[in-house]
Amino acid sequence: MRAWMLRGLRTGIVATKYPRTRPDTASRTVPRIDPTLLQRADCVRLAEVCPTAALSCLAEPAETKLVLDYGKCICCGLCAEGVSAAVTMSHDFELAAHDRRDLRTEYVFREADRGQ
Amino acid sequence: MDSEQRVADAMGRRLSERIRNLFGRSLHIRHVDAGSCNGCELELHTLMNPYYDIHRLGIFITTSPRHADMLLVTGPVTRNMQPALLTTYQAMPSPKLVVAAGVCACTGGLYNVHTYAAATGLEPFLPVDVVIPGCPPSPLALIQGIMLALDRVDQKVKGGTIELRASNGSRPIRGGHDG
Amino acid sequence: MADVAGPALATGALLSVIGAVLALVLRGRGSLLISCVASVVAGVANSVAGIALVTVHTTVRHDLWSLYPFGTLQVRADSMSGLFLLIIGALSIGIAVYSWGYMAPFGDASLRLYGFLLQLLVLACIGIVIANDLLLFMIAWEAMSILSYLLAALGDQDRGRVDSAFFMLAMSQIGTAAFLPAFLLVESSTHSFGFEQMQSHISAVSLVVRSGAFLLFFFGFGAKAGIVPFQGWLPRAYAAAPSNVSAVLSAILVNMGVYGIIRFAVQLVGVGPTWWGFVVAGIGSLSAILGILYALMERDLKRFLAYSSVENIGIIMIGVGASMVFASAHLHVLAALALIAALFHTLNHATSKGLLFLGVGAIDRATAGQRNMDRLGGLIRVMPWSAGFFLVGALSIAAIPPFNGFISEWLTLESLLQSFHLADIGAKVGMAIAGVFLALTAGLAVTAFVKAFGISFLGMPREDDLTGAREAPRSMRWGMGIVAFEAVALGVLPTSFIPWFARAAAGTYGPNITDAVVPAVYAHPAQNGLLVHLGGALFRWIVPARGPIILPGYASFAAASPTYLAICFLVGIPVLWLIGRWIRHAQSARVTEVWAGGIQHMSPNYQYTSSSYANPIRIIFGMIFQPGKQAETQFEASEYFRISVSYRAYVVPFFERYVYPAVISLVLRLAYAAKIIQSGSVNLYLAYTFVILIVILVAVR
Repeated sequence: MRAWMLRGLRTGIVATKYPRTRPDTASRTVPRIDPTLLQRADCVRLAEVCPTAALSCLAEPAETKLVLDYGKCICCGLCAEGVSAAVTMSHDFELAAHDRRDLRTEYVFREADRGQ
Repeated sequence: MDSEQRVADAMGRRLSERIRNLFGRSLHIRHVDAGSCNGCELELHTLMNPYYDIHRLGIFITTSPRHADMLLVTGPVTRNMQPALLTTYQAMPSPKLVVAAGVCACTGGLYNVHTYAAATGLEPFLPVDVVIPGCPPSPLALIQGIMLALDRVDQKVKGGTIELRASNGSRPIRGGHDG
Repeated sequence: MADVAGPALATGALLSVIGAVLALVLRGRGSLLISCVASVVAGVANSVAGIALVTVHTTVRHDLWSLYPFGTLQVRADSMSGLFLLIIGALSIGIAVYSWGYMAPFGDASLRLYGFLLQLLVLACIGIVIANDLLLFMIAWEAMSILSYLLAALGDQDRGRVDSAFFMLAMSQIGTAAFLPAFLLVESSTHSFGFEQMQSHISAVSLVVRSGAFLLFFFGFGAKAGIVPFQGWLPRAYAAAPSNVSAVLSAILVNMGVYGIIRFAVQLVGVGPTWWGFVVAGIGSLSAILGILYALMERDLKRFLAYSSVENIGIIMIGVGASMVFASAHLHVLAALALIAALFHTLNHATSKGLLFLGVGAIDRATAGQRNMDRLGGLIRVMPWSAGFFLVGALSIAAIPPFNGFISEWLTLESLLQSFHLADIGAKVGMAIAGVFLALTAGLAVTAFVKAFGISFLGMPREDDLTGAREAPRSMRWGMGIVAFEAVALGVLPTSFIPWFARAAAGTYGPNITDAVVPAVYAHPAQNGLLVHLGGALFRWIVPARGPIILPGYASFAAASPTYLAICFLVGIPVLWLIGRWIRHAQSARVTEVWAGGIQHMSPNYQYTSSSYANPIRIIFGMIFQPGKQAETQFEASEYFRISVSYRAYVVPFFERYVYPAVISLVLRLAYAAKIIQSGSVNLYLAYTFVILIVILVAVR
């Protein structure tokens, strides 16, 4: 009892001040895609590797669409293990949303942009 | 479209003001485990330890839905837990908020395949106010999600479509992920 | 007014005798009708006599027949007798009306015997309270003992029932064996068998003799009253007898023990040293706490109520003991106050406990004899009237305002709280400890009656065969209603009745402190300026009393008004209900299911049982209870294939396990040792007789 009291007095208030200040967290959360590094060919490979179809790929002649849905991501990190240079695991945790569609980001490669 | 957006925003502000006035700085949460693996529960329990300490924010966990303002659901809502979950929701007095914590509650997560447990997330059953992704969502993510439901923080993530070129260079048309 | 008392008494006695004879002679329903009608009219006569005696300070004296060589049997009815006459009469009215419906299914022989015995029992009790000399008292007392034994033992020839009744008789005889020598002790010093003569000459008796007499009187009459360690007969006798007889036993019979204690151990031996009061208050505290603790562990409704009787007798004894302590310290106002509280509690306990037993009778009539709380439940839907009357009795005995039990417990506690007037520090601490026991008992009593009412009447039926339960017949409801009306009247208008207790207490402790307890605020507002200033003189035209305020002796200490509280309830509850309806119209309401933790099908097994409800008490007071459990599994081939699991939880009844068998074995050993003189030879017995005769002739000369 006394040891805990002294420790508490020594360490002071330990409660985080979030959301007033934003702490750094070391834990890994969802993947982040850098759109500047994303290649068209990566899309199919990323969709194959994702176990819950959080990354899904719709490959058509006119366009290739990679959908990243945070609502299905289980943060396993397989997509960041060397499949594509564009994918890194972020530490961002402020991902809550009112609408589930806000968790869904589409990366579209159009045929018209090819080669330009 | 812009005016529509402004009207929607204004309505959203009035609603959130009403919620904030109703709940003030005191919120009571009833948590229901609808077939979860308990990873989300572990993160939820740490919210009451001295480091995260949600009591300093005026948030409390209650056991009785009659006393609760918010229903926090974890787990993919298995078939066996559906009646109990719906009973809990009906036992809560209005106004009430519903938060889906963890990807299992959002979409069924890892279990959103054809199983006998019929675990496909909370959306088919209850009107969801906030979804908190993560597997499991870290305690700070849970705090952000709950505060978002109370409109005490802003939503950071936006969905949308990003148009890309085959070469490097991108031109986002609408929205973007705030990384 | 006083000259009504004598004729009323005589009428009552005569009616009891006639009713008893007729009940024996007639058959079946006619017998029952006669005994009920005679009981009701006799009860009215006794109540009238009682009221006459307590409203006017007078004493009725009469000489009955003369029995040579014992002298004349004398009758003396003073205010104290009048109070107990009122208790007997008021309760017998309600119980008699109830019996018309309750005993209807009994057989012809049972009806005639019960009618005969009950009437004579009431007559014997009246004889006890108006007896002025030892012989009449002993005749009436022994008649009461034997009659109550017969009443409790009759019925089917259930061995357990006869054993319980015999145990009651044995305890009663032990009490008689204790107090009879006390009378002889006093008589040896005062040379008279008349009570009034004994009392007037008591100051000439030495303190040692008086102390001995006090102890013998207290424990002798206490055996009848049911104090610890004599409480063992109460649960068994109450459970064995039919419910209306149990009501008579609890409401009338144990009060005879209380009467004996107050009349003889307090009034006759006079004011004594402080330790007398502490003996009484200490035993009272012990009875109160042990009574309610054992009550909480009971599943059988009647045994539960019996232990609750032990608790209430304990509370009465705390009041009596406090009054003795104050009297020893010459604080006569407080002494009279404590005695008033004790007497009030006697009347309140009689009405509440009688009402509760009548309610239990309605339950066992509706459920074909089921008295185990754990098999009941949900009865309020089929028996709303019985449930309501039972609730009135339960609230009253749990001392909830505005029912009558509250005022007597409040007055007892207030008199204990004013022990700071005492000079001796030891006495102050002792009174404080008694106050602690009283407070703890009151809290546990609330728990116990929540359990009794809730588990029997509320919730879902715990057994399927409660579907045949019906509301009690009208006569039983009327009987319960009469007693409930008495209870509520005592609770709502206590200031009309407290002057009666003050007059009864005045015979013991001198001054009539009516003005100090119920000030005449309406008639003399100037003298009670403080109370009038606080609003104590309102409702003058609807309160038929001297005033609505009760004071515990001194206005500067405390004041209470259950009358105001009742008026607040009467006015406030409808007003709040109307406000609630108006608010609910302004808001929307949604009706949904009861929240039960999300389970889909409510089963009766999910409810509290009486054991589970009382489990925290069992654990906290584990040192007293020594609880234990036994679990047995019957299995076939392996422990995983169970046929049945039986579980038994028990508490150790301390007195029945350790005290009574020890006493019984001691007595048996003494008897065995004394067997030596029994040789079987008639000549030896004749020689004994001859020797004893010589000894007596020599000694008496």
